[in-house]
Amino acid sequence: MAGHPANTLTERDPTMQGNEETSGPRAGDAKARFVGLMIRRRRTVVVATLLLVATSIVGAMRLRLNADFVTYLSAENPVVRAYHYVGEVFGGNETGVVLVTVPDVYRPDVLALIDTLTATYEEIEGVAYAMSLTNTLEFSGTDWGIEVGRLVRGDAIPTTSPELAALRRRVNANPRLAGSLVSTDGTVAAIQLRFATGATDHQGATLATVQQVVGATEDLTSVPGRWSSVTVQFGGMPFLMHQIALQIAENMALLVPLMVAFLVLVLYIGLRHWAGVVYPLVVVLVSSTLVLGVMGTLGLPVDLLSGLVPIVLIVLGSADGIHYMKRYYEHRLQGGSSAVAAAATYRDIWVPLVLTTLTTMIAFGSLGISNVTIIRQFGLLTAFGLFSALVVTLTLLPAMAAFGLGAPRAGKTGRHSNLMASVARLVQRAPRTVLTTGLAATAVAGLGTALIVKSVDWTLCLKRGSSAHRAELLLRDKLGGSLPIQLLVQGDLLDPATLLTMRTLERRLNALPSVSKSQSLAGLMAEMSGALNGRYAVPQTREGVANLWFLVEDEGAIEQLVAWGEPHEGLVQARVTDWETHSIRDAVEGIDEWLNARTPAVVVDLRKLSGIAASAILDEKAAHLVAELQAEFAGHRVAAPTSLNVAAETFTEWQVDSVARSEIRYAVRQYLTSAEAEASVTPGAAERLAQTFADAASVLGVDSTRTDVGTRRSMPGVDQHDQAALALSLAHITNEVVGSRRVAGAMATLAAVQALRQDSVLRRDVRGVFWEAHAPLMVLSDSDAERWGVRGSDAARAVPISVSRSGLASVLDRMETELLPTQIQSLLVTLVVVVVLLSLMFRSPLAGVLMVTPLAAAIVMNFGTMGYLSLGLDSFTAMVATIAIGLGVDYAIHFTHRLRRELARVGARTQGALTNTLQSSGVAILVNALSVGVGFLVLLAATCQHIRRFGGLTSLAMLVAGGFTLLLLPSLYVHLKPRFLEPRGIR
Amino acid sequence: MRTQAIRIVAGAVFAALSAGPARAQDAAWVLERVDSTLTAPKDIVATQRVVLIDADGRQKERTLRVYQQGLDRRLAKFVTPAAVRGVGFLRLADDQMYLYLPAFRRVRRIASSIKHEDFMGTDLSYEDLSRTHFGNDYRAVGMTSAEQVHTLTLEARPDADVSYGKIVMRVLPERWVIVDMQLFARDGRLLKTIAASDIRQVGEYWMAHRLEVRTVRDGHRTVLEYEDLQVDTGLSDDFFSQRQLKRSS
Repeated sequence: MAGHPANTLTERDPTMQGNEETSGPRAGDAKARFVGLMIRRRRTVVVATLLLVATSIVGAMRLRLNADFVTYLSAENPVVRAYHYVGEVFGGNETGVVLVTVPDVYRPDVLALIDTLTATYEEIEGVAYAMSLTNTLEFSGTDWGIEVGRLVRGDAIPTTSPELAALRRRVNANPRLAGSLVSTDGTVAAIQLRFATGATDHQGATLATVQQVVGATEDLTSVPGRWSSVTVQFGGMPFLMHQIALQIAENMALLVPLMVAFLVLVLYIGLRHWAGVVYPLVVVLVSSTLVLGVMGTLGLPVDLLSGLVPIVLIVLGSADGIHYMKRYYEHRLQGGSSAVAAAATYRDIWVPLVLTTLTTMIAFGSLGISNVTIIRQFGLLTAFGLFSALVVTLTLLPAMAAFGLGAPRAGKTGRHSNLMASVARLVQRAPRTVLTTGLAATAVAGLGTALIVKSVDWTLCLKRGSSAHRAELLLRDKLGGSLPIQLLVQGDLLDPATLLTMRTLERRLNALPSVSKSQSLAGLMAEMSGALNGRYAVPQTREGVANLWFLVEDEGAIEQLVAWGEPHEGLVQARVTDWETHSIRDAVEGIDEWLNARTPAVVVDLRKLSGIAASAILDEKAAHLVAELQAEFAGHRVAAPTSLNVAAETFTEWQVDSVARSEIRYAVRQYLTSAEAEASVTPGAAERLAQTFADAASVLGVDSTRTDVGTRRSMPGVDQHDQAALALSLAHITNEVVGSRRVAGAMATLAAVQALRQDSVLRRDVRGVFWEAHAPLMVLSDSDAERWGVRGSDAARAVPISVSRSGLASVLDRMETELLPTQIQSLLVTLVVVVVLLSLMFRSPLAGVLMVTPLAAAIVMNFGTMGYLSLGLDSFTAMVATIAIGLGVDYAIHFTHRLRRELARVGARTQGALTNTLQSSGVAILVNALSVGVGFLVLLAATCQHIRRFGGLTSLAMLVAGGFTLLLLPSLYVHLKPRFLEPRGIR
Repeated sequence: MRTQAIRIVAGAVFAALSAGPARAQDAAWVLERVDSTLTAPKDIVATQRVVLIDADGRQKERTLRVYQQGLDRRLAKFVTPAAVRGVGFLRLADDQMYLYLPAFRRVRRIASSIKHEDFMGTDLSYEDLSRTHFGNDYRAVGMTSAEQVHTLTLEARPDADVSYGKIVMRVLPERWVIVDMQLFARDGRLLKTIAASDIRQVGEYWMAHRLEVRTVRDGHRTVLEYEDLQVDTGLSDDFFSQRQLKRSS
């Protein structure tokens, strides 16, 4: 090679040669003996390696895929435990959605298809529950009663236009159905599937169920010409898992060959010799196989990240081989035999090889501190793979090289040498200019870091345009999203106080901008109550709750919301509108904020309060009422009117007036003449009873001591049991009239609110809030009860309610929140360890600092690029910086190590030393940076967008790190002339 | 809610028997005997224990007091669990159904369109509970006889508003009590099975005191057991009223 330094090696017994310069005589002897052994026993080494590879292949046969996001966190994580608990108690917590897109859902044939699909899915063992338009419950009120039944029965599907139009109206009037089971425009119907849990191989069972669902759907919809206007798509976590599992396999099948091809190309361009291609390739293939074998043997699954380990190893593991082969060729070009060249190369680069591998292992190994299983596994497995690659490089490579190879003709890498000579000249002549330019470029990039988006869409792990991706977008667009968030409520669910709390939670969830479609038992109770008596509110009494509960407790739809048996555990569940990390964070923070401040603990009976406490609680009730109303408006995405305070004030201060008493009298008389009255009374008695109840009415209920006496006096001779029953009925009627008047009064103050006039559902819900406030009870947090002085009083009783957050959204949020600090820790750990290691190695803290400087600049460039390109900071992109340090520092080590050797050899002729270094190690660095950079570019072919971003950014970081090492580091050395470069500093 | 339960109960459970001639009968004749048996008692009063058993074997238990008169009138009041004591259900002629929820102190009419729905978590629909005369909605299309049991195949009449397209029932000859039934959807799928047992004589009628209903799809079962079963007690027509629905205990 032109301009190469003279070789200092002589033809001696390779097994006896040491490298005193770098490691002292004794270490040199040991190394010499070791490499001599490898060379003498080269056939044994090759056979042993082949045996190891064969064993690894057997182990790798046991590899399994893992696409379950939940397993990416530790099973001991509280969020994961809560997630699994909900799954066990409620028969499953993974919800898939089958989306049927048609021009119009409200067609008999489409409804029949939905019914058939629903019934078919219910037959599949792994489906715990299937819910669609054709089997969901409907609570409808009529002029004369209530109907609790199916919205559409499979054997009575509407066929006429009026019937279909009526169905459309009923669905659109019910927010539980519209925008949830059918899009409001009537073009998409959803069949929600709750996947069963309990299988030993949960993921395997889920994926098998997914395949059955997809297969059954294809069977039913593949009739030629029959369903040409129907598109069926699959969304939600189970289908997403299925898609990801396919992608993991697809990634490995596509990317590994692609990566190998790129590596071959780059190696040939860089080293211009078949052995330069084959030998490094053998190293990476052997180490990758070893890693896969270990994974299979230890039962570690292949997931989104660990599936990349072989690909990363192909890129990284080749570096050692490249440096080895580069140096080997130098020796060969100087006329050494293959055995001597192999041994001499070994001695020359033993230190940088070990050191660079160590630093890269530190970078990846530092990911082992992560709480996120896949990150930890990825980091540790890659570190192990790198160690394997080092071992193979130090054993197999000298052995193979010693078999004898031809050497490339001198000048084949001349273009690189010329390029490097130019770099050397530039650095020598204008180090400040180079440094200033680099600094300026870094500064510009640094400005971009301010633009980094801290939100990432989890669906980026789906292939853009894939069926699963389109389904997710459709779910977002038309059906409120697919990502469930749940609140587990533990307590007595028949207690109105518990249900009022759940209603509050529903409202608070809906009020969050990124959450919609909340539902719970309390919401269903309110809906039933609305059908029964026109008020969309949970019953005020335990008996009322128990009665409604009895109507639905064994319905399949309820099993999703209430645990089997005595109702002590229920879910308030909702959907996060998208899979953006910021949406998930907003939802989680919003919920936690409320839970931390307002966890209910005490319920106060307002009828038992008097004096200051009563007044204080009423003020609190008014404030609570305003907050609930605001949440209701926010949930409807309508700005809350300023008149809410007036409405709340009107409501809390309202008292029974003459109009109300007149209505009570009328209602009592009407009841007494109805067929259902418990006893017949004379007109005179009816009038007396009407007056008694009108007089006894108050805003907090009927004074039963007065009405009991009045009833007995008005109904002499009537059975006592009937008297008591009648008194209860009349008290109930009286309370209804009082409540109606009170609510009507409050609603009148909001009459000018346009949204209320236009939106009947909002009107219904706001009325419901007032009706719930009409209950003579108030649920308080422990601290509020203490503050208002009612804790421990006769009016207060404890309500042991526990509310905890769960759902897949919680798991993803925890993953993200645990991930970023971990990544930062990994970055810092890697930086510190690398700086310390380099400082010790070169006996100078300055060495450590200077050698990581190009990397620091490369990292800034990386983050700046992310900012300018709006690439979100997520678990994948955050890893890039750590990896860039681990890999990039190799360049600095190789460069510095070689420069010191050249300086030691040529003395004060720094320019020559620098040129020699750039033309030898510099070329290797350039080849390596190109191979790693281009290698990671292969990940751009991955189906998962997360991985594509990771690949692109890592590629950029490595190219920049390589470039900066070749430009900035020599400029720094030329400019600063650090003493650690002097030969005496070398260990 | 389970309107069907009452029908099958009335049909199979309260089956009383009028002895028939021991000769080869055709299917229609046998169905007529079965229907006659079902409608033989003038009225029935009983305590009904209902056990709901899901596919995992988990159980819930309820107790009702039931009153029935003729073909159309039935009143049932829940006794246990305590939380729902007093919840009542009344069925009158022409599919008029009423529900009483004591907490709301009001009787509410239930739409007849839900007669195909399950009744209160049982495996019986309102329709099952209400049926006392198969011949109105079904015609017998075949019969085989073996080992002292007639196996009767019924098909729904084209205009009948019923859930089942086909019913296969096994009937004890001479007593004309149904011992079991298989209920099929119109597309031929087996939906439910009903097995009657503990057949004893009450007064002059033979009746099954235990029914087990199983839904094929989810493996859910309902066991109905009758205690304190009385017949021909002389219930008045007025008893089956909204007022009584609220009052009776």
